[in-house]
Amino acid sequence: MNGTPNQLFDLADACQAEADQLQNIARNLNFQGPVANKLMTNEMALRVKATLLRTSAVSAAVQNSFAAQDGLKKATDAANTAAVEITEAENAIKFAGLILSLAASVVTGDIPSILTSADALINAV
Amino acid sequence: MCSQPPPITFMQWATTLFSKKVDGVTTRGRRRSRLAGRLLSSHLTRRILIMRAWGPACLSFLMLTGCLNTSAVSSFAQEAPDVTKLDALTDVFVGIPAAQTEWDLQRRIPDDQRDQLAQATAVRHQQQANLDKLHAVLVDYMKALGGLSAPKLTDVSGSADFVTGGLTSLQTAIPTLGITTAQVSLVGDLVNLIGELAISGWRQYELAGVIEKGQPLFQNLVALEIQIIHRGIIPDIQSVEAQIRENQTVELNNLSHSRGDVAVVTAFDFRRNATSDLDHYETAENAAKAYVKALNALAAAHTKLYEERDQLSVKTLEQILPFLQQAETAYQDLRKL
Repeated sequence: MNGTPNQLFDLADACQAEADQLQNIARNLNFQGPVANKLMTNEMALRVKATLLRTSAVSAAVQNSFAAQDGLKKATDAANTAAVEITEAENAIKFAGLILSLAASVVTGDIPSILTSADALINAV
Repeated sequence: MCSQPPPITFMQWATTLFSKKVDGVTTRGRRRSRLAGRLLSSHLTRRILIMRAWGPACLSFLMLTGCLNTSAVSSFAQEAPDVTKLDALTDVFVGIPAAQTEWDLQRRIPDDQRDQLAQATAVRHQQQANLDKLHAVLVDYMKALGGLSAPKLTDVSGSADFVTGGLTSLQTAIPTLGITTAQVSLVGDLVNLIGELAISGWRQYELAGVIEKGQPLFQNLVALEIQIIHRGIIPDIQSVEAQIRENQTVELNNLSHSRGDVAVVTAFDFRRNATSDLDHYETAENAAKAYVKALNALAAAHTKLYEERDQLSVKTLEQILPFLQQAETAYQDLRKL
């Protein structure tokens, strides 16, 4: 059945409310006799109808949510990207320090020290 | 004497190097550029460097940094609803058409409707997968906010150690630069201070942007989940409960007219099954109601974050804590399912 989620939920609620009414009348008859039987059969038909309408309503609601889901996924991506960029900026500070260390090693001319500093810099990039 | 660079020039160079690297990363987007420019412009860093009154300057910066507090967002993220709890509810939702058929003891449902219920079960299986995806979108969003608001993200002390380490090496390698130990320590403090200020401000700006963009979408999707649970799952459960209670009365009436041990045993088994199913559905109904409460609390908490997005502080945390506590209490009810 087609309709907006609210319309379908409203119809389902109406069916269920009627089913509950019929059940109350049947209960007053102690659920016995042909009238009570007929009431319970109709009650059950309305309950099934309500279930089917709610199934359609949920389908329509989920269908309506796809645009919002895509939008929120983009916001999530933006948050994750920002976190990565901030980490990169922190790495830039580390990088500046390693350049200073390499410069110092080059000035001293100490080969092992130059290699160690260069390795550290390369690994940090 | 004039050819020897004065120490202050070297410090300016080192700070400018740091400033340019961070500025290069931060110049994405006009607003971000303005923010980074305000916090990291060479003019500002130069002014800081020539300051003589370091104590008051550091104190005022630290006070400013202290105002930026994202613990409210981190706490909000920690309350991301557990996917498995929603699964427990959607499992019940998927099982409703089959339960209606199973509890149709007097065969009142005509065959065509039985077929429709079987088809509805298949549709609901598909819906369960879609609801899981929808739920995952909400949870991923909350976790991403948590990642962006994590305290360790703006802790630059580890990176600043590399700068002081580099300067110490230079101090030893080129004594003619005239770098003193006190100056190395000062630069380390400066890198920490400016780095933390810039990155905290940057993070605050990004968080505000994400929360602003996420607010209508988060509210929309939470409202949708609430609608599905409140108007789909809960009435479904109540309908089956009513059906089981009716059958309990009808069947026990019928059995009371039967005689013999077999009738007693059948009545006992029937009552036990009906009670067990009713208990299960009542627990599910309570869990669904608890889950709606939790979602409402999360929606309210996000709205508060949205309202305070440009000035997130400890006060924001105090304001959203009641909502998060409501959500936590509701989760405890939900765990009973």
